[in-house]
Amino acid sequence: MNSPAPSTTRAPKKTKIVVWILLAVAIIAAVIGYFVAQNNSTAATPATSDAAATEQQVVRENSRVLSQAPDEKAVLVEFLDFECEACGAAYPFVEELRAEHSDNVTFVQRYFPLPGHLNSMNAAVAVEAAAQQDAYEDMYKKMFDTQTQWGESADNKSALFRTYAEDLGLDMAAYDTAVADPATEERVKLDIADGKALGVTGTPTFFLDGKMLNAQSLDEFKAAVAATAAN
Amino acid sequence: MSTPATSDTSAGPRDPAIRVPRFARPRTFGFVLLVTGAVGWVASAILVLERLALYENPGHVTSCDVNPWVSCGRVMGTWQSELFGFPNPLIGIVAFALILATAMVVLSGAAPGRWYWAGLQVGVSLGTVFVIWLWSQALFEIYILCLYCMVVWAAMIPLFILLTVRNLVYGVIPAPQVLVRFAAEWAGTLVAIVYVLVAGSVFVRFLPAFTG
Repeated sequence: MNSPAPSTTRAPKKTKIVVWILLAVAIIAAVIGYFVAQNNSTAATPATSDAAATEQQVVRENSRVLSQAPDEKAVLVEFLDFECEACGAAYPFVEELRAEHSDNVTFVQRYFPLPGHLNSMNAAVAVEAAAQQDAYEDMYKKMFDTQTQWGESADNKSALFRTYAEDLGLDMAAYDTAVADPATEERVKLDIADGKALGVTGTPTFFLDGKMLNAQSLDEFKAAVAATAAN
Repeated sequence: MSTPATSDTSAGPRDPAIRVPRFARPRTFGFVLLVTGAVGWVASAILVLERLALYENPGHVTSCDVNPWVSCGRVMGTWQSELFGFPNPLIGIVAFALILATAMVVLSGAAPGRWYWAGLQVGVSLGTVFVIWLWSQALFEIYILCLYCMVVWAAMIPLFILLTVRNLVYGVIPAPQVLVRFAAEWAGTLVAIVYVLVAGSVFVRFLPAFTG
């Protein structure tokens, strides 16, 4: 379609119409694709009830108990990401709390690997695999003790985590099977799903006796735990 | 002395064979600058306020902390968010203020000279390069979306494309006539194509996050 030099765009060229139609198709396809993917994922994940933080959802039967209090008065649950610096910073503090209150407070930890951390899922899977051999505490400590060495790396650190398992004297055949088993990742994703349903958006997020603990300072945190432990 | 609506003589020589697209006419383009500048400025200002709130209280939950994948607060912790040693949105409020000032000048009827438009082109182009880099970091390195940042992208895309086409049409950027005519014809469509591509890239990259 040839137009004289001062071309008018009153009648849009055919190509332009085609391009706009293609754009519209792309948008519609994306919208449909989104809803299809949504449906597929909600069919797959376990039906989550309302976001009320009940004891059931905050702690599950299979949640990793860091230490069980013999005289349990309170349960402190931490949703954490092994690659998150804030969790790494909270780690010595949590250990301090544990030393002080392990008689009365049960410490539970749940996986919440964050996106933007390349190895967070790898670390969670590695720790869960170790946990299946009753080495949760040792592996979790190892992860945080070494976090500065592998955190924020752009490389896959699964091989490094495997050496930690070796150092702990784990059954490597069982460890490798667990790491490769999709059920292990599903186990981690279950924690993530519960966390999201409970309104967890970042790590570390703590729940004290089923309610999210939003302390503005370490002292406030300590006081809150001490208060429930004393009751 | 009234200036014909479609000419801008102080802007320099322009090939009369090329019809000036409607958006590139002086007053209309003033509105383009006004809208894109205002949107970009407001988004940058909100980001600055949220950043200040975060400085005061690291536990602050920003108004755009939606979920782990869409969180301004988490993006503000990255080195990319303060590439030059201070938060990027500060650049935004200064730069978009310039765009707004230009809009006011143009809407008032004044006609800046060629070198002014050339300077604006350089600035907006540098800003676009920066935004492209931030987009690549958000999608492929950080893997977290910042809502207000994306609003800034939405303002930059038409600002850059329409400014470039305007400058091509008015001869501020020398180019072969074929290219200029193509650009004039397709400016609006190009903006739409880039919008769809950027939205598509975010969609594809974050689909697992939205549905996982």
